[in-house]
Amino acid sequence: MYSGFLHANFLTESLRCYLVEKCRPQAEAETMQQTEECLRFLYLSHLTKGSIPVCQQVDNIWHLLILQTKEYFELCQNMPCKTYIHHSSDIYLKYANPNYREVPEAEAKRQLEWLVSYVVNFGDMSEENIKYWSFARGICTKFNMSLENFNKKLRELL
Amino acid sequence: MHNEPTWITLKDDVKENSLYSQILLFLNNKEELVDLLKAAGCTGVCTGPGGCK
Repeated sequence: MYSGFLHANFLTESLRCYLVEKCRPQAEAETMQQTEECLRFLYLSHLTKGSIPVCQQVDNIWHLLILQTKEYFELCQNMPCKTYIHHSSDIYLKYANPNYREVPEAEAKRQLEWLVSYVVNFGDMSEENIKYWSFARGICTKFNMSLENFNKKLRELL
Repeated sequence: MHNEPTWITLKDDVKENSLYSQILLFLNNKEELVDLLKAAGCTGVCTGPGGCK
């Protein structure tokens, strides 16, 4: 499991200040939580292909990082993936590769792999972080599953 | 200090798992999925090497 915060290890002070200012009047603590979840996404996303639903706030942080092109490039290089994490619009992909959608069975397996991998790398989903993972929150809501039970089911798969 | 990321690849027998079945049920109802994601503040689907809509 990753020890500590990704933003403390990979985000430069200038990028931190930039994100905090761009997200005002949102509180700095909230911005840094969203940034942490965005970095978790970048930390793991290169290991899979396909969609990983994130919420608007995390997506916004990703977009803000990408706009600082040089610093975003360096951030990607400094993270364990050491590779540039590209971003392309779903609408663009629809035209560029009409077959990019996975069959539901493959997508379900990969979504589950993402959630299990998240727990293995960053610990159990909590009330603080599940709000940024729409898919996980959606599953808990739809099936009336407690967070404790959700984490337990994910850990049973290890 | 920097740990390496770990990706968990699940075996095909995960299809017997109840959580897998629930996720599949969720994915097969795209309208409900989109509504629920929107209600959660998600405007789209972001991907790793792919993108977001």
